[in-house]
Amino acid sequence: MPLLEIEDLTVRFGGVTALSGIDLSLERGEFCAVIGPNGAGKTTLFNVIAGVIRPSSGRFRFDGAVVHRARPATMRHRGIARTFQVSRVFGSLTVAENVAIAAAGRRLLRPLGALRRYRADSEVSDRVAQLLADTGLSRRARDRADALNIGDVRRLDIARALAGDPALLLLDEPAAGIGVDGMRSLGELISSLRGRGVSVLLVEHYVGWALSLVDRAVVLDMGEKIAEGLPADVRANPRVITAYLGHSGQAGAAEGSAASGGRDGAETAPAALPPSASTAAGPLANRARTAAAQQESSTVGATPSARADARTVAPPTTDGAALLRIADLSVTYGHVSAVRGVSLNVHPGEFVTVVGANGAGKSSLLKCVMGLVPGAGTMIFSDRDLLSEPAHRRAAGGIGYVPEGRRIFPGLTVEENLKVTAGAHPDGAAPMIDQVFAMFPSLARRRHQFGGNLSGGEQSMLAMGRAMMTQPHLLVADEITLGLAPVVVDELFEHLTRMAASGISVLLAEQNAAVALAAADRAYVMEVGHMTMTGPAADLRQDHRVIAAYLEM
Amino acid sequence: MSYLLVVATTVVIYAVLSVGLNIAVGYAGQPHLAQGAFLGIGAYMVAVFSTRYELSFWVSMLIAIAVTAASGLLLGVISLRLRDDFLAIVTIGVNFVVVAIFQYVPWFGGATGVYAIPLPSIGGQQFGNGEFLILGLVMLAIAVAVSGYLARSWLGLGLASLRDDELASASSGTPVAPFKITAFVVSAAIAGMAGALYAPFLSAVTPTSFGFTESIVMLAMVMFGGVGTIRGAILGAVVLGALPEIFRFVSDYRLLIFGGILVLVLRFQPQGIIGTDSAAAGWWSRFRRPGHSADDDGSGGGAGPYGAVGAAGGSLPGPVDAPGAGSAGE
Repeated sequence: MPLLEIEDLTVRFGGVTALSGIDLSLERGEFCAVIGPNGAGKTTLFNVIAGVIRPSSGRFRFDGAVVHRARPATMRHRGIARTFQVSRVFGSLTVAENVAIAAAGRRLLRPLGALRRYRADSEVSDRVAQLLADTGLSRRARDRADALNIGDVRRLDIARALAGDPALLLLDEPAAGIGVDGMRSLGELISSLRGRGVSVLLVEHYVGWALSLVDRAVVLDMGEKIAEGLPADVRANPRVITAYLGHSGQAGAAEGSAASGGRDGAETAPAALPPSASTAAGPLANRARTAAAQQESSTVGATPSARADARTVAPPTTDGAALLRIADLSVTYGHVSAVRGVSLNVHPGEFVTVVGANGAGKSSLLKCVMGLVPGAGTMIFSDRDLLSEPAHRRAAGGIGYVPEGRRIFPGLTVEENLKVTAGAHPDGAAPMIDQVFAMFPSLARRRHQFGGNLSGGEQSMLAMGRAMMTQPHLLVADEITLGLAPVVVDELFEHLTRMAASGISVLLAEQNAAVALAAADRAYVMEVGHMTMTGPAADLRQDHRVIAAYLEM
Repeated sequence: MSYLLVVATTVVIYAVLSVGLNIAVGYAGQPHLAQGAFLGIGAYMVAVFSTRYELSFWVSMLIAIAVTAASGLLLGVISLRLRDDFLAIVTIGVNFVVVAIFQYVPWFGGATGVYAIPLPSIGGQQFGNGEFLILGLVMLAIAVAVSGYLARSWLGLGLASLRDDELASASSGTPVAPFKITAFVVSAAIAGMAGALYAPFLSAVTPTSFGFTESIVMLAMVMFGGVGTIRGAILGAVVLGALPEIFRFVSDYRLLIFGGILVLVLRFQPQGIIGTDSAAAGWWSRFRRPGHSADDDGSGGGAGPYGAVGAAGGSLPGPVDAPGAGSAGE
């Protein structure tokens, strides 16, 4: 009998179906990965098993018993332990105390047990010492948990989860933000758990890394299970590749591996990297690619003549000075570094896209351009040092921003959404609003509707229109296709292309590589905080290494 | 001399209250702005039972502790439903409700309160100022012992973990609900004990002495000294409790000075004057063990791999929290 059995699981949030008809079973001691692009439903599935979300329908059996009312606190006693994607260690306690509280088990449930002195309990402290040794944290046992670096935080999280001797360990994106070295050593730790007889369910963005650790993988896309099987089979499955790289124009990307070998060397020169680097999979190979890509990027930005040598397929506007020049930019959140030494240029009227799997650092890069998160490095926008300017100054100075998830104001009408943004504009809002409505006729028809009542595609248009209200020279857009139907995606990209044609530069971060590479002039590929490839979008579209960027890390 | 004794007893009563409050606020990390009400419930119980029912002080004190503990249980149950700012507002509301009950329920003596509360006696000997101080110190010793033991127990460690992260704590198997309620009950019981002494010490109780401002003052004492530590709660009570007397010569500006000191402490030493991570605590550990940081200090008691931090010594959720602990990644 399997340890975990889930049948026909469906989860709805209001009108949105996050998971539909999912079957999943897990044997004792089996390691299984749940992968899928952003919005696939991975986190929802995780939260159902962890007892955080109650499913709308479906059966959930664990260890032979039906789980009726799952709650975080009771799952622990059933034998399901979890880790957290963001740091949720007990910061004011020592590392050893963090593990001790989780190892206390039934002691906490008996009134007299809870009143015992915890330090005097040698049974627990021996167990804590053993767990810390197993997870490589013995040296940090007496340090406060909030002093740990992110890699050790993940180790502590795993040690804490193991402390209750679970039959099933749920790992929630453990690789997020820990970098390639951290991923390698964390991978070793996870593999070392095999001797314990514990089953592992790993939910992860970094597909290649996850697949290298598990016996079996389940792939979700848009709330449905699209594939299941051995890691190698899943990786080669065309449906999986399509799910990751996008729903539009898949032919080009999928055929890329065959096409790229025979391509003209001169045309792909800026993006071309030694074939040896591209054939080697995994984090270390990516580092080599990164170094090469960074070198390439810096020559792009250096001098016009160097750029002319490097670029032959770029649009005519590229020979002038860059509108936005980013060099060696890093973004860190506490201990987590999301963007590491990234360089990037956007020229006037150019449509540049940054593609990469979820967790690559695309959103952080764009937020940093807009001034929503602090960054270190160089960022020049029409001769101004952007990093020293607050976000509102950047907005007024010619940068429009379409945030991830659109973030329109749901309680304001379409027209009010637009008016709010134009507040600073000297000419008043009316002429710009007319211009936006001319650009997006479907918005004009809904001008008095509340933003919250628009469809996803219309909300995306409204977010784009709102960004246009300040008459920007550069439009920064983050994941505009998220959760939208392919036909709507194509329409949105038509708008972006038209904007670029009218002279507005576009910098778009997009997970849907197929459609983004089809529309953009030039593209950058981002992996684990680094830029690993750059070149004309049409070339990258044919490059099998773009697929690798999604499925190998 | 007797003036000094009165000031000292007042300070000691405040110390008992803030050591008790620290269990809910410091150990469990719950916002609690109703400690004044629990002081009032304790004081009123002794006042009513020792005057109207002519029970002895000691019996009334036990009733007072029991009733306040039960009221704490009620607040504890409320705390399970609410969090952070909302819980803070509800505790404020609870304080106002309790004062209103004192004021309008005739059993409590109405707006004039209860007066002519008999002095406690022990072995036929009536209490004088000295005895009040001694009993106060005994109560403080009890509060410190209970609170210190709690910090070293599984309960204390569990409270510290749910203070840092409730979801992670629940996922680690901590029974969050009974633990939180226990923290509120113990906090309240200690306040009830202090209230029992407070009533005969002043010989009269009126509803307004237990208002929201009193609760603020007690919370300020805990924050001033260092939230989560017993030493901090006592220092806060001593400094802020004695301050009004020390600055008596500038009577009109006392509150101004009081508030100013609080603002400065919270701005420059948010962990309190001698709390965990405060500058003073750092100096002290370097002075005691040159060459070792505070974290290397294993003297926290007993063997084991745990280190010195212990369950006591954390921070309130919210503004006092370390920056940058929030979102990560995309």
